[in-house]
Amino acid sequence: MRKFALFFLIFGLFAQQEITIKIKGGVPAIRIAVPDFVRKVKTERGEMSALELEDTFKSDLSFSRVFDPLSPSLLSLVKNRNPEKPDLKAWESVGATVVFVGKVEEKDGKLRFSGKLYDTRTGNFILGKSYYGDEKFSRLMAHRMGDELLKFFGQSPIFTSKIAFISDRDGNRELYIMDYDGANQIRLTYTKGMEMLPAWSHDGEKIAYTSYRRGTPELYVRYIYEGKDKLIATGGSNITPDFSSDDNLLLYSSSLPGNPEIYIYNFRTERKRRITFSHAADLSPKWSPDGRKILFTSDRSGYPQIYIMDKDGSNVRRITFQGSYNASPCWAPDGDRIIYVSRIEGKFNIYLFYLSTSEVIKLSSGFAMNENPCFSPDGRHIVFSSNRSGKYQIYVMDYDGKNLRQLTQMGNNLMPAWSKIKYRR
Amino acid sequence: MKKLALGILTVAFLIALGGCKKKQEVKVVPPISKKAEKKAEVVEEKPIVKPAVEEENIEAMSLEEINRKGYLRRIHFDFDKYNIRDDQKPILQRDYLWLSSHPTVKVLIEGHCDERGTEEYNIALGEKRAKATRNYLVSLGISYDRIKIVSYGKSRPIDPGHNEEAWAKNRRAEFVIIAK
Repeated sequence: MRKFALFFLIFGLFAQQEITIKIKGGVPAIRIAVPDFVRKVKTERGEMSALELEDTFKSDLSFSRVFDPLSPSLLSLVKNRNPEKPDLKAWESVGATVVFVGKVEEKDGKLRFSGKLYDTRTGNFILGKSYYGDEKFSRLMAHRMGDELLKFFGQSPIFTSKIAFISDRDGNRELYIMDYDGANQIRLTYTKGMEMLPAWSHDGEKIAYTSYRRGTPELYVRYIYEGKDKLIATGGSNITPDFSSDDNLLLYSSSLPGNPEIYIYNFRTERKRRITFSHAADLSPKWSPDGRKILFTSDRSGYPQIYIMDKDGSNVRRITFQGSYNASPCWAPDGDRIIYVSRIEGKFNIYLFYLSTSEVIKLSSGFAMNENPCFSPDGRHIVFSSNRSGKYQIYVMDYDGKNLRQLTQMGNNLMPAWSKIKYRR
Repeated sequence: MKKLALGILTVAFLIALGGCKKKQEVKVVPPISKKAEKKAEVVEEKPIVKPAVEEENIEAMSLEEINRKGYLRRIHFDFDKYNIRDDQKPILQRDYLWLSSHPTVKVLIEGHCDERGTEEYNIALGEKRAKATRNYLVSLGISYDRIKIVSYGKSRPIDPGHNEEAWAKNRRAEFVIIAK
């Protein structure tokens, strides 16, 4: 935020104009021209890394739905490619609002990636950034640069976000993480038990998940960069955790009292508080982005349906009435949209629901299991698992069901959770 | 002469009679003896084969071997249901007999589901199935603290298929002997 304020100061007038741009209804707002990067590399490895960096940066922008990069044929119309002084009039004439000029240099086995963003109408240089690091971090440098662009335009950074998931590629179900685009898949647990249903903290350093390492489903928190686990809940089945935006309160469901009820664990006091009291299975609690309400599922009506309540468990209201089996809800960062799965003829599809209007839109199609949908931190993308190609794999699609892409290949991969960012008022 | 003739007649008659008797015996005896043998077999089986011999086996076997023998049979459930079906009760009654004749044995009941539920709800459903199975055995007389339960939801199907036959197999409660 501080950096953001700085931009405001420096480029006051312009920045204000750009920040009012709203990306709505999937109409890409920012036409960006990204001419091929200038590459100054000495080794073959450097060349490969530089190319990977450029590819990563470009595919980030096309994925975002915030930017609408100019097609190669439009790019080729602009002949003057002086990187120091881009021909902004020419770029404007082919439809670009902004131009990103990138340069990758190799120095002592490391890469320097610098980029400059220009406004084609005003002719202003509006953003400059550079990164320096080992060649193996070329993807990360590209993601960081992309995030700076998103932040500059008032959007949530998502290119450095990660996805936690469960995979049985090595035999039994263990916890993994990967970059949002499927790269860098890393195994985190080696319990030989069974792991399931992970959830990220907002600081990106913790994952709450269920583990059968001691026989029954217990709730743990993994401190990713310390490699440590903390046992949160045991006895009965302890599943479906969700961190509050300050990461101090963890919602989860436990069947310790005899049937699944919703609890809040407080990390500071290390105490638990039960907030639902029904004879039904209450599961999948999710904090609203402002932390004042909780979404959850309950089969108190006979079959699972989605409910909303205040954070103390009062004022319970059912919100889904279409379909006989609705579960696995996820709240969008805007607080108005939720996604969930609905069962029809034994198969699951993903639905979008507007809390303000109760409008329902079907997002996934086909006769397969499409499960555990989860929004990206900017609410524009949805990750989910599906067995549409045989085994369960993890897929990402946009909020309108478009741009489907598969992120995993080996074994069964399921129960994805996209990392979060802090809620900003 | 009269006496002699009478004696001969008597002998002949006796012989004839005897002949008759033999024939009758041949006809009648076999079925009777078969029935008698069958009855004897049934009577012998009950007391001898079952408890004494198996009890000793268990002592000698590892838990793994015992579980491989499958003394306790799994039961199946209806779609989205966790009540014990009437046709599954005789299986649990047999499991009960085995458990009551092995009073030191402790078991884990695993509840499982077919794929047509979410991961989360299947954990809850599998737990209900395991509990229903435990409650039934407890109602027959097995001590509550001999039975632990766990739900695996839909994570461990027996049959990976996507049809009614596979689903019916996968909706189940299984026994794992955890102490002997």
